[in-house]
Amino acid sequence: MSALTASWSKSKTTQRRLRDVLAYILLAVGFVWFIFPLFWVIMGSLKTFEDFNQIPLRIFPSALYFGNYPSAWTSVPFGRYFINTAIIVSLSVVGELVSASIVGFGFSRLKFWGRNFLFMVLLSTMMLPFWVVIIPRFLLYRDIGWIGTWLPLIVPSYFANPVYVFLMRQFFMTLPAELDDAAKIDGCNELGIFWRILLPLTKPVLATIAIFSFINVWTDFVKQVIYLSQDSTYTVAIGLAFLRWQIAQGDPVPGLLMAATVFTSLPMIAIFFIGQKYMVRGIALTGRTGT
Amino acid sequence: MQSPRTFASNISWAKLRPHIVGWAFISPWLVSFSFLMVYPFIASFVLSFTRYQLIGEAEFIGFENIQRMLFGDERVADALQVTFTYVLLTVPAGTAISVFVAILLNQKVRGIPFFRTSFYIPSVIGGVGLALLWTTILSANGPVNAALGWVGIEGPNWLFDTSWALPSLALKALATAGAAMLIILAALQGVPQHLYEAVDLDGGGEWAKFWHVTLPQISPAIFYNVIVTTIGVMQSFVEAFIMTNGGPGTATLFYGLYLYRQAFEFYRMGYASALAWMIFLIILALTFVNFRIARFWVYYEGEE
Amino acid sequence: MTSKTSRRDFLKVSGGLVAGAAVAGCVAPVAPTAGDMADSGPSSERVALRFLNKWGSGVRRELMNGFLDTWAEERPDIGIIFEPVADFDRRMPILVAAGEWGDIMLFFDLQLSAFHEIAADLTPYFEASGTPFPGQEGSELIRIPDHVGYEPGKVKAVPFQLNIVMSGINKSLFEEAGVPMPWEHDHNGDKWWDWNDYREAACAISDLGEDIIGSNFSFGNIEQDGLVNWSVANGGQLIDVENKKGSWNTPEFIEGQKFAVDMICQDGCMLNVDDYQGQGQALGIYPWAAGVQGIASRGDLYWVNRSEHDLTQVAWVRSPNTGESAGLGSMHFHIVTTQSQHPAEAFEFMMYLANFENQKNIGLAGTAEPVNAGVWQDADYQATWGGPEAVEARLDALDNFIFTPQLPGVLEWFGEIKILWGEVLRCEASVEDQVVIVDQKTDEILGAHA
Repeated sequence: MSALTASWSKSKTTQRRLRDVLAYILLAVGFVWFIFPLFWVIMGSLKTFEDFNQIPLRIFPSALYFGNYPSAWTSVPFGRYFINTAIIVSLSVVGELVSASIVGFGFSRLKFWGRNFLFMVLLSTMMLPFWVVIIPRFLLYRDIGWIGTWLPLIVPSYFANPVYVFLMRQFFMTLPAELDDAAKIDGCNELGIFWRILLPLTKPVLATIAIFSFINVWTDFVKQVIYLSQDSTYTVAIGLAFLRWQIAQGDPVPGLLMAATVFTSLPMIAIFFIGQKYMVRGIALTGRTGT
Repeated sequence: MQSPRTFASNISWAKLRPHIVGWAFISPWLVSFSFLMVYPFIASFVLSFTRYQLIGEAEFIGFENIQRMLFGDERVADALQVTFTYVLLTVPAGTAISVFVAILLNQKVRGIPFFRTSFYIPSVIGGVGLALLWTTILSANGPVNAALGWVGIEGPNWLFDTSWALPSLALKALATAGAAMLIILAALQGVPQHLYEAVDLDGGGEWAKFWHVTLPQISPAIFYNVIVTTIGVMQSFVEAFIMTNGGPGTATLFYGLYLYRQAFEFYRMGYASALAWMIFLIILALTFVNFRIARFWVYYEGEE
Repeated sequence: MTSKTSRRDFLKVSGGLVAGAAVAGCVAPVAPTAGDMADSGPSSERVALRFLNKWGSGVRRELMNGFLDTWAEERPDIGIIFEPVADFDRRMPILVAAGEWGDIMLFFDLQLSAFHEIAADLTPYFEASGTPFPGQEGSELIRIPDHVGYEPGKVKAVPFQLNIVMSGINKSLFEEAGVPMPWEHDHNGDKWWDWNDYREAACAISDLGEDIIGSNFSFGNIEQDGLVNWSVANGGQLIDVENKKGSWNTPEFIEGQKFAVDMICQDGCMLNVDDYQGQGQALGIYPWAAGVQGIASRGDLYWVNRSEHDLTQVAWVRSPNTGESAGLGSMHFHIVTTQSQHPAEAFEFMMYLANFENQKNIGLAGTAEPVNAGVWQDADYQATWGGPEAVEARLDALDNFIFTPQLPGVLEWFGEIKILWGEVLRCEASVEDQVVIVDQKTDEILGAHA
């Protein structure tokens, strides 16, 4: 009887171990699939031009060559583009945080006419294709003289992005109603409840929104390419695209392009490592990774 | 006796106040909703019936744009075909990969946070950077072809081959399944343990657990994901704009790219608006169909 | 639109006032010395012109910086704010749509036809400075298309760069294949290399080995180095501009095309369009293994300088039937926008960029052909061409190049043609069938933009 139990538990352990090995093999395959491109680009950024034309193809550079980085940095004015992008991103992130928390509070903690209907409308606008509004928006911005400035990229973020509103609302809903009641007894009005009582509790979700909007604004190439028009206002994404078009015209710079890809991705990767926890939570909460 | 006026104002203020405050709180969204959603939405509908070449005035031309779009312009059909093919190449496979990877990441082995992070990183880079990255990966003398060379296959010139260009872009899309993966992973972690225990009691194995518990439980997340990615993929633009410029020929002429060209390169704002409305209606219909189909495979708690 | 008051406008207005005051106050402005400039900080006194041009990277950027530096020394009163526009072909239309016109903008000929409404009439400035119109008796600039005036007797643009078709040959491959150089060739009694000679050379070189490409032609730039040149040299035309109709379905056009297309689809002596672009982008360079090739969109020296191969150029080859050599030319022009507050100053700067010295530098750097006629006669420039035969051939090409048609809608037409003719170049459609489709499409697009 005891022998039987022992062998049974032993086979269970073997089975379990087999499962783990299989899991690791598959994880390793996944790792190569997802990480190899990045690895390739980092290696490429350290290669000389000659390295690229060797047959058979080399994975590692013949010697670590860092010259691509300074050339890439100066090939287009990336310094300025980084500053520009940082300004646009930080102003947008502030806007998203302020407006989403205010509107999210309204939709979750206050009762007013049309609330549920309007919230349904808000949800449905999340599904509206970008292309259907892009032309009139462009004409609108043109008529008020905003094209060529950062305003079309920044100002809308102060008027509540539905995704972030949804995120805030979901979070506010989880906070107990007693908080509001207690604050009301203390003489707080709605603004006080929002600002003093609830907002301090929403730091995690604010962090999520900050990270989402950081990444989304940083990589939002379409809007940048349509609305910006002068070199002095261009962004990192546009700078990268310029490099690409230079290549298309035959400038021999594969290593340079890869170096630029690496250093322009660094901010995103850094942000992701810093805020991974908040990001994962945000994704779980909304089922979205951004706008 | 109170004067009617005071009475009325007392009542209405007390009654009105929460509504006014509520509307005040949501007013930022109301502004963007009106000016950046409703107005452009209607304006592009109106523009669809005009010829407007930016310099000069818009001119009403009735159904000319719509007629041209539906019957006269073969590029519209090309663009739709490319876009739908791209959806078919990326959405089902992408969903399958993200479910598979999420299940993998839900295993109880060591080092999961490390793998989760590395699987997600390509999705973070996004946009132009990722497009450039894949341009180099898929170049004729790039690593993909080198790997194929090792097993004796002469790889195509991916992005410059009419039959391979679109699959190339799809391949790139599949390498960024990380976002969807996290959504599914969250759903997986929300599956109640007692359901698995029930299967154990019934003597069911791993497969039974997956088929009868996991899949139904995460089906709403999968469904949601299918909806969101379909809508997103239908609007693809950056990949083609950066990597292929719609070519070779019309092989990667995404609908979004064609619309962009009509609007911002050829200045046919009216025609581009008509195109925009068509893609809106198509996406709407597709979402509707998706919801219809969902009845047959998505499981919601409390249903039988 | 009137509500737009940016810092730039403020600068413009205040700059204008200051400049106006300076002009009123100074009878004869004295060129300041370097010391003066350092002291006075010229920014507060000068007119500032926004200058939108695509020369933003590489050799071109270096040249442009040189032009700007010299200008800043010579004309501190007219400041130039240079705004390089990368991805020029796609960005310029957006800028125009956005109303971001600047003072001076660069357009290529196809664009100019769409945007000439924003170009100021330069006739008064030509007249005031006593300069004849480009290409006219006494002008130092080469001819420009008639359409640039858009109204008889007017000029709205000043040329800046020219690209005309040249054929490059790889001397080492010619020697290896035992093919005589174009200038040593007997050409069946003709003085010039013709299509048949080209085809023979390319196919002989192709036979050298698997990886060796006899000839490549980029279709990417149909207007200048595409295969359409073969037809144009044969007497065909791109668009019937007068009647605004398609004009590909003619015996001349079809014959020229078939000659070229057969090299791809029958002989296999020419790279097809996708392979050409694919290889170019894969390596970051274009495939220099080719024996003969149409030089891509920039001037030939640009490529020659970059190549490890022994390359030289032989201008355009002639049609065996007509004996004509008629490559299409692609010209880039500067315009002064109608928004500019300082058209006279802008005009001066545009003429400065087209002057002998600057254009010679452009020519010598090999990044485009000069638009200054004097440079073409200059011994230094001619010395870069590789022999007296090449000099003769190139001067001949300058005389004979044809401007691309300029009509509203040609931009869209151009995009469509690339798609439609791509099918022929992939050997998926026949020349005879496709010219009919091209003509229909041409009529349709030109009609829609009319």
